Amino acid sequence: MKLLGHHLVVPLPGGALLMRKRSAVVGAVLLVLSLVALFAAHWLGAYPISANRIVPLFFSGEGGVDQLILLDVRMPRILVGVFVGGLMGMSGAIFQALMRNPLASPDVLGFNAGAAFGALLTIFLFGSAAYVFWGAVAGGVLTALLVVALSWHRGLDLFRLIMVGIGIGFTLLACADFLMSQLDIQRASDMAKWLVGSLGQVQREDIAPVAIAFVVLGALGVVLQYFLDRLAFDEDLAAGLGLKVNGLRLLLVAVAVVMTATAVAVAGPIPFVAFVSGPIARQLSRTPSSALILAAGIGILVTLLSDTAARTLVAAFQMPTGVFTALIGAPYLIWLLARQAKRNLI
Amino acid sequence: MLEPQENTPLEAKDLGLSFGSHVVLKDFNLAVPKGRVSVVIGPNACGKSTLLRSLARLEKPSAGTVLLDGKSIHKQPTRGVAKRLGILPQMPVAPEGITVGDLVSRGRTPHQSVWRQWSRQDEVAIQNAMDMTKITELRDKAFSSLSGGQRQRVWIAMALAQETDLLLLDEPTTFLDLAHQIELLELLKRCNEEQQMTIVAVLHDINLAARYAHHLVVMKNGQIEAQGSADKVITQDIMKSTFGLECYVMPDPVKGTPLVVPA
Repeated sequence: MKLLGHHLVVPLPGGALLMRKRSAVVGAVLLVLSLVALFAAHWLGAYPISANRIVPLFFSGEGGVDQLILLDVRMPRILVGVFVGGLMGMSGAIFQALMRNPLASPDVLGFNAGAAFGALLTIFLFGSAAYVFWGAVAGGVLTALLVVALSWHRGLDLFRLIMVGIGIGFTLLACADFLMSQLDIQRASDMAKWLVGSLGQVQREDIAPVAIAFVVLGALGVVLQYFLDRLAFDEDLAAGLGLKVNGLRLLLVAVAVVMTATAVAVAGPIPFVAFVSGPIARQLSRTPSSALILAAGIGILVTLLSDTAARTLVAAFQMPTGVFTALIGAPYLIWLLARQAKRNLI
Repeated sequence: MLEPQENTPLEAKDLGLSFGSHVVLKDFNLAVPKGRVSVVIGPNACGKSTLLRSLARLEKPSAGTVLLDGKSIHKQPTRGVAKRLGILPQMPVAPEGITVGDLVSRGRTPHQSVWRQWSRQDEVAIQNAMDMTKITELRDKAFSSLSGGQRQRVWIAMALAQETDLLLLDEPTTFLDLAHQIELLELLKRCNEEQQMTIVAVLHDINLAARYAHHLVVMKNGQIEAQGSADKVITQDIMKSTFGLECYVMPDPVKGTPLVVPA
């Protein structure tokens, strides 16, 4: 490894990777913080478990109440939170880089609403939650296709995409609201996570799909980041550099949509995680790149902290995770809008 | 006479292009002379930019073809084309927060891959490009903090880092004051003379075009009105028929090239 200005050159057999020094430092700090948050999340909760027993309990075979709470109640929810947060963080960073606009995250573009509506629709049609996952993925993908088709104008028109996305998103949320009103009150309150997003009803079986999606799509995203960072030029320059602009954009949109749909399928449309992660990661590392790995780290941290707060702040009442991510995200949205308004960007 | 492929690396053959019912280019034939500076001039909306974009495979023609080294440019792999031909669009957009060094290094994209994001050749090409454009000391500056003239030099450096022998530029001097326009055109002249680059530029200023172009192309309504050396092409009659401009044409007191003085 050698230094080159602000970069580290990481040699590979027959090649080399470039990494910014500052990004490497930020990444290491995020890793440490995430591990601390992971530990704290397992430790904190209505049922007290002493801190020095957390790690031993993972490996002992005692099978007591402590272990049951830790491994069967807390761990699935926390692990799903980690993968969902990471997926949403990366998905948001991809969309924002593609559209060259910090407002363009999948929660703003209506893809999360589409996934949530798809999930809710399967429950409504089949009377059970058996097809929720596929309903959410199909809802997210179909919404994305619809938005892309409606905004296609001799290629992918990014400004139209944002406008159409916001419109479709609100329409689908209204549809979801309508479906909820048709359910009886008990079912409706069970289904409330499809409106706000929550890790509250997560189960053990939910871990595998989000874990697989996180690893596979995350790896794909990190490979595609090289192109994503070059698409941040306008399309003429990117095409002039020999990139197949439309093909790469569609591929990246597909990856980002499946990321967000998988996350929503399990946790509902948790708001603002996709929206805040990329910008925070880029601010911290001061990089012009889309910084997908760092965005995943921020997404994980935001989700873990929000969900831990949702579980523990009011002991008798478990609040949806989305309430706390919104508490973090909404002020940022207001700040961003105020700043863009000041610069006459909107 | 030489074989056409030998003296023209880039050629438009019966090129036609329409947006809907609006015809922008019609039966357009142009052979870009190798190792020379060609400049396209013409009134607003005459199709100059569209011509340049078509030559750079950014527009798909509705009729005819563009030939790069004698073969249809649209049938060649776009990455391969990017190693032969660089294009600087009219108002390029830089990624937010990018530094000058990072921006110039993006010009290496067609020579890199995901696996090989850096090589010794990249380093040499980037250094040469920055030396040529005199921006080495700006390397760690934020692109957004630069002046218009500096920015334009950085864009050219990025194109030079691409190491192509063809460079297409769409109005590279727009928004620059006269001193910086000259600075930029001198830079292009050096690229042509020292590195034998074939350059095609769209320019607005007829007098500067006359001074720097080996080959001038005068366009009107999507067709060629006249082409050749400045002496042949910049005449009272052609200025009248193309731009509707009454003028006198006299020799430039510095270079002797034709100078248009509006009447």
